[in-house]
Order: sequence, then C-alpha cells, then structure tokens
Amino acid sequence: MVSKNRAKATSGYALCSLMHLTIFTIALFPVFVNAQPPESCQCLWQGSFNAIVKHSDFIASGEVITTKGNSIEGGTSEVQLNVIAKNILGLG
Amino acid sequence: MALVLNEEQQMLKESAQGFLAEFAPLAELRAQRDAGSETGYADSLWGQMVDMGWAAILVPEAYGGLEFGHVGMGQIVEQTGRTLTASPLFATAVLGVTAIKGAGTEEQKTELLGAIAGGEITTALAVDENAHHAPAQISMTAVKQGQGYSLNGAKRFVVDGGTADKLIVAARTSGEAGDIKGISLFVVDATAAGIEVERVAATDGRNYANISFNQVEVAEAALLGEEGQGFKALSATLDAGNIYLSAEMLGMAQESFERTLQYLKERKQFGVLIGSFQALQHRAADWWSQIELCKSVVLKALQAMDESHKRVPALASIAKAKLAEVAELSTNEAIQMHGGIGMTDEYDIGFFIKRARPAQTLFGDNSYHTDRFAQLSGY
Repeated sequence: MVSKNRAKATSGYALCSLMHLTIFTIALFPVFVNAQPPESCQCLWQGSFNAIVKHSDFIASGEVITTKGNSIEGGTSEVQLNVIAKNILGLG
Repeated sequence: MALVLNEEQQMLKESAQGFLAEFAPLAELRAQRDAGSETGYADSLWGQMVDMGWAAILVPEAYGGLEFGHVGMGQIVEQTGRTLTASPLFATAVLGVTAIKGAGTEEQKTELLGAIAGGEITTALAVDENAHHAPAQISMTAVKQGQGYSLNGAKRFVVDGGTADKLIVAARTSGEAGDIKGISLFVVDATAAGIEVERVAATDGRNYANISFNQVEVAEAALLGEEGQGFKALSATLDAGNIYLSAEMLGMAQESFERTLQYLKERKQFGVLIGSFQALQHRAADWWSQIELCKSVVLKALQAMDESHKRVPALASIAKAKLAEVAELSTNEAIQMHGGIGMTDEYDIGFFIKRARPAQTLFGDNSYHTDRFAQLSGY
C-alpha cells in the first residue's frame, strides 16, 4: 500500500516537473498566439481559456492564474460587504 | 455617453416624484384595491398625467408631441415603480406610441399619435396567445376579405385590455406560427363587433384581459404599415416595453430596499437593532450592490433607444433579465427582512412583490431574456 502511494506520488512529481518544463519552454521561446480573435472583439482570446492555453503566452497564462489571488487581495467579498454595510448603508 | 442625467431629465424626475407623492402614493393603490377598482387607478389620474404632457413625451414634435426622449420617460416610469402607480402610461404612451411610430403610415401617425398626445385615446397591445411570451408564435389570423380583413383568434394577458379605446393586434396574414414573416399589425376599435373581453385578475390588481376575436371585420386602413412586415415594429415595441418594465422594476427595487433598510435601523430584537447583525448586513450590502448594477443597465438601455443604437434588442434583454432577477431578490428580501410582519396586509411592503411578479413575467422573464441575449450574441 505504502509503495503504491509512493509510486503515485513519484509519478505526480514527474508530471508536475513536466508541466514546469513546459511553462519554462513557453517562457523561453515565446509562441505566437495563433488563436487570434477578430479585431472587432477587442479581447485577448475567444471561447474557453482551456482551449487556447497551449497557444497563449506566459504572461496571459499568469494573468488568468493570478485572478484567484486578486479576488482575495485587498479584502474578500465578506470584508467588502462589511465595508458597504457600515459606510454606505450606515448599519451596525 | 456618460451614464448620468442632464439637468432637464433630472428636473422631470423630480417633478414626477413630487406629482406621484401627492396624487398617487402607495396609499392610493390600497384605496383603489379596497374599492374594488376595475382599472387600479382613479379616473382623474390619467387626465392629470396628460395635462403634464406625460402622454406626449415619446411622440415626435411633428405629430403634436414633446419628443423629450426615452431617458426622460424612463425617469417617470421609474418613479411610478416606487409608488406602484397604475395608469395607461405604459400601454398607451410607451407601447402604443412606439408601435404606431414604428409601423404606421404618415396618416396613421398624424391621426393616432396626435390623439394619444392629447389624451383622447388609450391603446393596448395584444401579442401573446399562450401562457409564455413568444412573439413569433402568433397563430391568430387576418384574412383579406373584400376591402378589408377578417380577424380570428385569441389574445391573452393584454395590458389595459379591458379599458383601452384601440387595440393594437398582431395577427398573421401569411405563414405559420413560428415564422417571423407574415405578421401584420392592426389597429382595431375595442368596440368592434366580434370582440369579447374577459378581465383577468392578477396579484397587482391592474387591468389585464383575455380578448377573443370572432370574425372581426376591419377596414384596410386598420392595417398598421405594410402587410406581413409587422414583426420588426412589434419586436421594437416589445424591446421598448421590456426596457420600461425594467425601469419600473428599478423603482420597485430601490423603494423596497430603502424601506427595508429603514426597518433594519428601527426594529429591535434581543435588545439590539436587527441592523447590527452581520447576517443581515451582508444580505443588505449584496442587495444594494445589485441595485447599483441595475441603475446602469436601465440607463444604458434608455440612452440606446434615444440614439436608435443597433444594440437596443440586446440591451433590452440584458435590462429585463437583470431587473427581473433583482426585482425578485428585492421583493423576497424585503419581506424576509421585515420578518412575519412583512406578510401582513397592514404593512405596504407586501405590495411590491405583488406588482413585481407580473412585471417580471410580462413580455418574457429572466430565462427568456437570458436565452434571447445569448441568441442575439451568436450562441
């Protein structure tokens, strides 16, 4: 049992380092985005991000990945609701 | 364009606020209901609104109107949402004017728009035939007969259908239910032979009717615009209708919010004000944020109509979808936060949910307009 888990962990580590390597490669050799949206769209990409992640550059990927962090920085939604309730609505 | 009102629009908003507070406050709705009113408003009220020019706001100057624009009219309708005021303003001054302006010939515009602006006639738009809003699914027929047409079919849930002088009826001159082509608009006298009107009771106490047409003979002049080409004007009229319903629901959402916020600051439980509880604070703050979004979508949609922007249909669906959702949230939260007393007839807060539900559903609910927006956006 223990060895099985270890094997899983090892393969997980291998997968993880493979991903790092891919990201590293992308960073070193910028791939041109070939999922160019039409000009009228004025957006970075169209459709699901998963579908174009392979073709996107490192900065765009980073941008998407950090949004989760950004939603917490400067106060979670609960903190913001407290601020609204106290300062705008005059409650509490 | 910036999402703000200009000075004239702001003045109109304030004058509407003052007028409605004096002549049609919520207490008036209660009085009309208790008296068993057929229309939901006092007869003199519409006359006063006409005198103030409200019936003429959307009518072009060339036809005797004020041509003040949709943003201005939107402010009035928003205020009627705060006081829950029923009147022919929606069915006549919004739907009637938009349909006639969009589809009518020069003679029809001159005759009918002038009469609406002067308060001489009221109108009702008869579109839906089934339980759900589906403007393309019209199966009522208009068959060419001699010098005119013969109308056969039934319409449901017609706003002001029981009191209007003229019915604007969407009927099929060709094609089958589901076809956009082949729909024609007719202006029919409500007293014409073969028309049967059955009043429909709704929670808001307003005047709706199911109307059946049995061999109703109308002259060729009753055809609004061109035969078979009515869908475009009908669709534009429904867009306008949905934007004004959204404006009305915005008024309802704001008023029910403000009344509830006040209650949170007055009502004590467990020895403290209930507004000091974080559970209620968070709900109130979320509710307030939703209303802020609604102010923007409604004003944007009104501005787009004034500019005849090509995105009016999409903006109408955005506004209706969002406001139907927030009107539901607002009226539910208002009762929830008032607690048990919110359910009683003694408190006015219950009136908002009773008007919100028909307004949410009329001409398409949240699901209908979310789907329509997706389709208009190419999905």
